[in-house]
Amino acid sequence: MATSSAHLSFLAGRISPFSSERIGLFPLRGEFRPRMTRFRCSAGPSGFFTRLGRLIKEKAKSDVEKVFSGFSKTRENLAVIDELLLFWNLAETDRVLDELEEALLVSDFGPKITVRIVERLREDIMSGKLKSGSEIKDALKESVLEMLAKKNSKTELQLGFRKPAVIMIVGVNGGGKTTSLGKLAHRLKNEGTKVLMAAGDTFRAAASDQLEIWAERTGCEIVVAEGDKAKAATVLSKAVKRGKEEGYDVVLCDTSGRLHTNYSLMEELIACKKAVGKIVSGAPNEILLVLDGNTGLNMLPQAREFNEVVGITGLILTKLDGSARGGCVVSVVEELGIPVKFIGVGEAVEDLQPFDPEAFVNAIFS
Amino acid sequence: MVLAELGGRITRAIQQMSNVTIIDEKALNECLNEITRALLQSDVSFPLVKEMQSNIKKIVNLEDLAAGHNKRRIIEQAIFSELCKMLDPGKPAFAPKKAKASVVMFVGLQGAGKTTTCTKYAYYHQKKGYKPALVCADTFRAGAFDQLKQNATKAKIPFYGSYTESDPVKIAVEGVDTFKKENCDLIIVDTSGRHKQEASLFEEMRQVAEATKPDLVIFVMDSSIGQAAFDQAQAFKQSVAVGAVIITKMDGHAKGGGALSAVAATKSPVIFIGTGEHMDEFEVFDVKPFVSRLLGMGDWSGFVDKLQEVVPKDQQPELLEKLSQGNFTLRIMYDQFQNILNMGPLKEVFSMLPGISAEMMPKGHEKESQAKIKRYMTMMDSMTNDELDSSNPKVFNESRMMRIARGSGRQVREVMEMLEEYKRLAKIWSKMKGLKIPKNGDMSALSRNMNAQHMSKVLPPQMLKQIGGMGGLQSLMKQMGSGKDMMGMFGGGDK
Repeated sequence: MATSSAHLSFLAGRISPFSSERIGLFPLRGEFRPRMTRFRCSAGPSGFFTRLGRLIKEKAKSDVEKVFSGFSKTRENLAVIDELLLFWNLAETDRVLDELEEALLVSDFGPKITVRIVERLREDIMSGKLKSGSEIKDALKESVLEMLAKKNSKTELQLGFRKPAVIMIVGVNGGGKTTSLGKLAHRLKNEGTKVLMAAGDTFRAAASDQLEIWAERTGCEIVVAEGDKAKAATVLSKAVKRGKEEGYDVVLCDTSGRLHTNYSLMEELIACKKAVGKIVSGAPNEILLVLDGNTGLNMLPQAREFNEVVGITGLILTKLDGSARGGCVVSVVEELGIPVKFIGVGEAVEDLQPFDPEAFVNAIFS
Repeated sequence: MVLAELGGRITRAIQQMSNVTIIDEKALNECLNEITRALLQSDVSFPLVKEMQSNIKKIVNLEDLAAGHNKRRIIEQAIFSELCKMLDPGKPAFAPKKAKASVVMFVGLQGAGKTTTCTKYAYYHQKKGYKPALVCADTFRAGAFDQLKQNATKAKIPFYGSYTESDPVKIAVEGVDTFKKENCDLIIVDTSGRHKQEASLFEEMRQVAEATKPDLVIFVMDSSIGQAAFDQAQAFKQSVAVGAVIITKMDGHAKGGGALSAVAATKSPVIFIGTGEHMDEFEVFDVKPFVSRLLGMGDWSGFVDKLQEVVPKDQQPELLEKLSQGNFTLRIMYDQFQNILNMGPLKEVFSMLPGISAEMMPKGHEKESQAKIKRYMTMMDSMTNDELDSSNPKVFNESRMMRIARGSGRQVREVMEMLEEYKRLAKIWSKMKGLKIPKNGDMSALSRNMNAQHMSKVLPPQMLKQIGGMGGLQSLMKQMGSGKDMMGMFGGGDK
């Protein structure tokens, strides 16, 4: 019942046509009392996406095992932590902390965040709060988990109540956007959603072909550019129109990869967003930034720049099945407050998992 | 440029050490700690950074015993040589020969940019007279063959692949055989992306290499890769005989430290870097100029090469005469702007000057600066000879400015902005008036007669500080004394 109320409150917040693209605070219940009745009456259709989000979340539990197997390399690197803590004693505090620092750096946490974590541990050790190796390890996990979890309240897709919901996938070249979009389409379709793909990458050679293959694999319809000179905004606009007319539940918009430093291409992204917003009010509902897990400390400026330009609502962290550490995503979540919504752990169509911060942290430090 | 921030931080660390009166172990440690942090922040592999730090300490100690003075210079050189050592494994990569069939195989992680790089590599060699061909042995990723096909078609390079065959070994062998019969002398095999945890895919890669017997295996990596770089590169090296590295996406401000790690892991040289999506955004990689620019030491040979390309020799005496008279006209400004544009991208030119790092130029604004210069030149194309040759800005009244604006399609406000810029440059130019002019009018002779005091008045304070103040300027001019000069840059040098 509490969950149901929360969702109704959230939906109420969407009534205003001028609502911000970002998720604002829930409005005070009393302010919307007269409208609650109306929304309760329309709970049927508007509850669809709510149920969808919940279903995706529940399915995550059965997928946790895959996450663990994907972190084998990171686990190798951080096994040194176990070894260090087993023989820990107070006299060796400095040496142990130095080596913890090294282990974190090697896992792509970056010097700034590593220093912060290690200094906090040092303070707690010196004040007597931490007395054993296992306590230090738990505190270490807690530090990282705190950074990830406190701002991850919206890890489910927020698809609003209008149809079609629009999701834009953005990111730099080679991060895995089109693959992630294909996997996401597969998940949504499995939940009974009617999905339309939009091939908004009008620049890279054969990008539309790639997405068409994904459409075929997942059994989804697709809208592609007509002619060689089509603009990305035009393609997406056409797709959302078709989605609206033909009653699709979700439109997934692919975009071309672009470096966050390329001004004119980032401007094009703004144009895409506006084009979509004209067709369906409040669209796009989600703008997901795809981050390659192999990326080092450049991950943060990438995310920062994309967020400033179009307002990122969630992250997809890819390629975590290799030796990618993904440690830099902690900085991204910590500084920008953008939740990680999915992680990619392989090449198969099923290899896209909802993000579970606790499982993520445990996989890194186990 | 890429790595600008890293270079800036290392340079500042060295400069701060230079400010210390006595260089003892404490000062050295502080400098090295700062450099260590900068390298880690740039994703250089942690073990490599530690090794570099200890190597520098050994070098400095040894040198200290021998020399006993000039520690600053010794430390600077040690840092320079250690960074070069990281990037240069000491042996050249295989170079394909024309009219003799060579097979080159591209490998790397998913999304590193292999297919784009394959086409760039082929295109680069095609322009040099080779007959390249592309084989798509990526049967895994959706749309891979389509991508290679479209790229190859655009670049007019023959290609081979299949929509139906799923065995990459078979496609690779058939493709190589086909193109050998067609007398192609550079056959490039593109493979699918993979990482070291995919054992079966690594085995597949090894099989492709065994079947095609490549003369060169190139490892392609993304400049933004983090600490995973070393392990991945090493794994590829262990599976196939990686002989060279190409780093992609160097236009994105990634720190590129992973590149250093990959070179160390594969012990192979970086042969090219990719700097964009278009076929010509592809550069040959040279270690020493790269590190030299990174540390703000400048790249004199590159700079003078560009300078001499664009400033015709017959123009130099005339320029000197105008210089001595202190007359700065819009025509001179136009010529200087033209020279600047001919030298290539602004940030590339400036990064060749010692002490002037790319940090001085706001990121992402290079193209805007270039566009601004072009706009100015367009406006000057609408001016009369009287206006261009006059050194009196009062000639420009309202009606003239209106005419110029209409003629060039710009706004009057922009014309006024240009004139303000002209006045500012004219001020700088007038300070050059007192320079002593040598008799033979030779540019190189002139530079020897310049003195630091005079030059310090000409340069903007910001640039002077960047170079390192009066001391830096003096050492700069000492370097220039060997016959090289900056004359062509005056007037636009502080752009």
